Amino acid sequence: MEQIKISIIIPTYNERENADALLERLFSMILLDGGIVAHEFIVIDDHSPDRTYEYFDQKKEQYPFLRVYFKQGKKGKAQSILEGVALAKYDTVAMIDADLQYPPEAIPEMIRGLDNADIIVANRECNHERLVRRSLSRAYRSVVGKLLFGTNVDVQSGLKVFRKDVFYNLKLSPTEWGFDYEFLFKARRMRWKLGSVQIVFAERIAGESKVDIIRTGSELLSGALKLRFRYFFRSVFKFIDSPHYTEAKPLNYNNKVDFLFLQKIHSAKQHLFYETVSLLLFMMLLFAGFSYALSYVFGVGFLVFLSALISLFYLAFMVFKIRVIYLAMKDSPSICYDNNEIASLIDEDLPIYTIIIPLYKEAGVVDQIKKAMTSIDYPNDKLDVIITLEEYDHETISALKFANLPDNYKLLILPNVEPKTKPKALNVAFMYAQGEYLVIYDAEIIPDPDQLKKAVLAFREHPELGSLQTRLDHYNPRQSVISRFFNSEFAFHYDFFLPGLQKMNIPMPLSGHSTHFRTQAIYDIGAWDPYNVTEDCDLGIRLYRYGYRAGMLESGSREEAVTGIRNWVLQRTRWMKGFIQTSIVHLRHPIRFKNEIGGWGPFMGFLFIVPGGVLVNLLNFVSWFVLVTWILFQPNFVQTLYPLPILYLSTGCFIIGTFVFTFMNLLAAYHRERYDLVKFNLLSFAYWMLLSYATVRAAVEFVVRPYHWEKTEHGTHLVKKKPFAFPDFAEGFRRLAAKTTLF
Amino acid sequence: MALITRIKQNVLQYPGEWIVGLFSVIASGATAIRLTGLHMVSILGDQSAHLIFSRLLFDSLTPGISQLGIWPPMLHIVMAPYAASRPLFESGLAGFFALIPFFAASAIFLYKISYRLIHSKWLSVFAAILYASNPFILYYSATPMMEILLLCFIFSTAYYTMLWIETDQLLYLLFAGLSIALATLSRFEGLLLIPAVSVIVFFRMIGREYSYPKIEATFILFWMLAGIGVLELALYDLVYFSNPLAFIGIGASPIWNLEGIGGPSVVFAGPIETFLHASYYMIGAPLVLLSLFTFILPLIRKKDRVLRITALSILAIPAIAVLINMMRNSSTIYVPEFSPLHDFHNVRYALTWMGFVSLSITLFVSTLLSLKTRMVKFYSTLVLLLAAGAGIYHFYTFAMVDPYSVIARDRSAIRSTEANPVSIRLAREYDFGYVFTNRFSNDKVLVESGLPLRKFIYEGNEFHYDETLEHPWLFARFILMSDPNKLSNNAARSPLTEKWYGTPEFDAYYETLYTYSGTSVYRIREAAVLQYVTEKGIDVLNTPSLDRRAKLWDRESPDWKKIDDKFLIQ
Repeated sequence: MEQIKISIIIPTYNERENADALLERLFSMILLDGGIVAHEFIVIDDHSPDRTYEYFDQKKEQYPFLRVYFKQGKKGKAQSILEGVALAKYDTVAMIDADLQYPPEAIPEMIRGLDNADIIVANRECNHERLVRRSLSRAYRSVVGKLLFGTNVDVQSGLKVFRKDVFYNLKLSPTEWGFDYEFLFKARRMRWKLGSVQIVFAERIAGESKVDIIRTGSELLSGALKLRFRYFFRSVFKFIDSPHYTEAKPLNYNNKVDFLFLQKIHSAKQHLFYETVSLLLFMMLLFAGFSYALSYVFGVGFLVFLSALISLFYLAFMVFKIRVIYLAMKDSPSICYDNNEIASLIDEDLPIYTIIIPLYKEAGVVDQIKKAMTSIDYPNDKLDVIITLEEYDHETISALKFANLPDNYKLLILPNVEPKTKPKALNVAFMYAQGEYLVIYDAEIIPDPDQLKKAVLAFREHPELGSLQTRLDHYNPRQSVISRFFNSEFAFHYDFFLPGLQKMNIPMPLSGHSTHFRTQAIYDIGAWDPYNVTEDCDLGIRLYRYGYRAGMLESGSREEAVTGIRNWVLQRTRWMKGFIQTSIVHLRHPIRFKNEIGGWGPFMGFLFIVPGGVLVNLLNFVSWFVLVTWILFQPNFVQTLYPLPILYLSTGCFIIGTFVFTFMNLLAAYHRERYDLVKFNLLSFAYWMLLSYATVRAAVEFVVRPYHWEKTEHGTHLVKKKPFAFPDFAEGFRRLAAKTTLF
Repeated sequence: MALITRIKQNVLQYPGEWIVGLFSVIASGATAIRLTGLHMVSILGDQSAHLIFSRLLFDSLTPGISQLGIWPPMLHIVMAPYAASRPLFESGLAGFFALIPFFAASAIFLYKISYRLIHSKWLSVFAAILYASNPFILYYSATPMMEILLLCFIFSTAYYTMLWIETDQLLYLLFAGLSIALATLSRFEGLLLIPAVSVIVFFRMIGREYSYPKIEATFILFWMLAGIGVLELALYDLVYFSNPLAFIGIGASPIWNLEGIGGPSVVFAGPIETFLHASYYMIGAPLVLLSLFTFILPLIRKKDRVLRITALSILAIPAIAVLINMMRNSSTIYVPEFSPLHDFHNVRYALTWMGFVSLSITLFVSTLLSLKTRMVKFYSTLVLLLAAGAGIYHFYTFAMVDPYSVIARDRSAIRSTEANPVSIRLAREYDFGYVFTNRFSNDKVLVESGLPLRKFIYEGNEFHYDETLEHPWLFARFILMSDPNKLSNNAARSPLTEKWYGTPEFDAYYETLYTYSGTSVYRIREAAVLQYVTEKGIDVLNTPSLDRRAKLWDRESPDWKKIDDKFLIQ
């Protein structure tokens, strides 16, 4: 027989006369039911004039499991129950009125009902009340229960048994008498199952009823109507309705199926929810309505309206970025430490630091990994290094085995489960992390040796920070044309853009490695989303939602720049795809997201950076096409799309935007003293075209293979390029002669 | 209260700047009032032209940036918000309000340049006030002309270049680049700043032993900003004139200039001599000569030599630009001392090295004071008194005794300070419709007639002008045209005059309302035009010259197609 531990909540007001009988019957019920191995009675008294509290308090000696409290909050039964639930220490909770009209003996049957449901309600089928009250109860049950809330259970029943889990994330704000219908309605929305048992509703024997038929009935009916009406809109416009039913339960760190610890609504595992669809529909309707109104009132055509909107978007995007850069250049917020401060750290006081290194097909860089990690200035006994490997990656496993790694390096073979992504690997490794702080390093990373110590100092001095982003750089910026562009882009991003975002308190899209975290922060937010191909960006946004801020740490990590165009396109396709995923995930409940992220400013910042970053690349494709078409053919329809004000706006944005951002790229390269790279950035527009192409690819890939993780090839910097040599014509001629029959 | 406190703190922190700035604003304001009383705010043809360019941006048959024309656009753009006000536009004070912040800024920058070099607050204030009290500097600060803009950005270029040389911080060089761009967009003389400052920057980088990649990268960044002005000019000319280098051709030859102002076609005067004499009028002979004799000494001194050379050479750029143009025969200055005109024309070109004059004198005094000789205080005081006296005398002469006569006698000025009678008559006779004219020689009418500029059809109205030129009686109810025999060749060569003046067809459809000094106002003969449109089958209601409700050039209307088909305007 299953062993049950139950908390029984008893709200009281002037129920002194029923106290003895109630406690006796409850205790008998417990004794008779052998399945209940632990129990407690929690009496919440609403400051009864008849000294109900004191009477119950005296009974504690007789009933050691009895706990008696005065209510703290506002008047009414609803508040009493809420406080009781908060105090309950067992997973099964029962609530019962103290007037003994509900039989405590029904509780065991209701507990067994929890095998098939989450909340069991005692339906008052046969009751001996007066006709008026009985009729009103039935009417209420029909109107409120069936009609409004679509349930057959007795929505106003004072006896319920339920799992305490039900209250997780259930946000209730009941009126004095309005706990029951609100509780059942919202629990049902969170997909908790309701069940019922039939009970005999007895007549009150002692004490007086607190129910005033008119007043209580009015309150109940009006409250129910208001609640339903409010949630009607939420049912239609799902994107304003939260929490989501998948948030009914807390984060699940026991999920070994796909290592998704987050609730589904916060993951990219499923892309389309009703929320996203309803939001898209709403936006489309709004857009259609607005464009129709413009057409009807001002005679502005739809396409003209669209081109105006695009121009305004470009303007806003440009202004936003310029402001971010300006703030970063004016006064960089990066956290810096000098050698003396680092030297002041005592090894014994340093916490354990976890380094996670996810590897896949990285046999070629094992030596580099070992060299980079062993160069880190941090006591070995405080370093917790976890290297994750796929079980079928024999080459890398073998290379590591022969690498003679230090003892504090753990090799963790990942379970062969989908999705096969880096964040899945991180989640697996995270369960073994022992450090107070952790950092992820990719295979090819070479961090500054003092980076961990700087991070420790920064975390200690800035308790509000949940993560620290370091400055990324490349150790092969000149290996190819694309690596030159890439390096300048990095310079711009890490030297200007991210510090500017930090100044503006806008969530930062973090990088996938060389970012340091508080381990507790990662735990609080549910670790990484294994289905998001830019798990780093998503993590940065989620940290913000949970109140953790990100800071720039003045420390460098060098990585390998992709050198081939193909490799670059594949990598950038994945990033853009991940941005699309991140946008969809976080905009499922945009209002809630805005509130969690700190208001309109950070919200708009997110819109510009993540979905805006994708949109601008896609729009660039379209805009350049229109421009080239106009230059070559000058078709009339292009002219009609751009009446004078829109023409000025879009031309201005094009010219100024192109100039400003090209200049910024040049400046960024100069700032990093990569002077020879400055001139390459004069061709930034070519790089942006490539970016647009990659984004279009990402949009397509998002539909056809959304979770596909294109592996970036590493180690190309180790391949020595053959020096240029003139072809040996003589040899070539000899070979040709040998092949023909002429000679 | 917080604002007042902040202002007080700022004043205490930057007293020199505040003194100089306030002096500039007050002096310029007083000048504007005086010039308004003298009716000399927009006495020059160029002033009217600038006002009109500004207003045409939004008040034109074809508003937009196409109306900016081939001149550097900076003045027109900054003046546009003020030109929107009819009183400011007609009085010419739109220029004053637009230029006052730039004038104050120019004086402040000159102060800062001086202070950076000599570290003496009062001497630097002296330099700035010497500049800002020049009567012609004040004149051009209160009237719609480009000189003050140019000076402001030249001074800022010099200042930021000096800062870069001192601190090696790229940001200052970028500010210098931006200043050069703005100077280029103010006047064409600004173009010379690009090569000039580039040479300074180059030698400085060599001196600092920059690596080649760093030199290259620095130049790329610098030129990207400094070249914005050139790029804008080239792009604009490419779009609107189909020739990106059209702006290089601007600036008339002396022959064209002379013909334009009605003089003989022979040029005798040498550039340097002419320029010097013009400078005497603009700046004052004592100050000019003092400056020329004193600027060497500060350059000999070793301390801060590079900075001094930098500052003085950049401030001398306008003078060098004018001299080069004069030597190329691409711009002319005439003064009464020399033939062929024996009168004034474009003397203001010699004003723009005023900053050099002020600074060189101040640097000389400062250099003297740094020498530890017995008579130094005497000599330096003497020079200061000389300079101050010269400046005061110059101001007194040309602002009080013979107020701005040099300008009033400029051949490009409209001689009379009274309102043009043609403007008055046009304003009186006008009922509705368009006025067809050519802008050259009629700018004053456009300003003073009181009519919205969108009621004028002129050369800048693109195809409207071309089509009206073919059949003016269909589109223009009034015409403003000059007698080619009475005005200069330039005015005579206008397409309107060449095609229609004195032709029987024109006389059949237009009657002369009023003639003054070679310019006539014509109005259509309604009966004749009515008969014409009836014969051609054109709806009277769609004929702009006949009906005020006509939608001009509605290219979708059937009547337009009739006109288009019948007369096939290409």
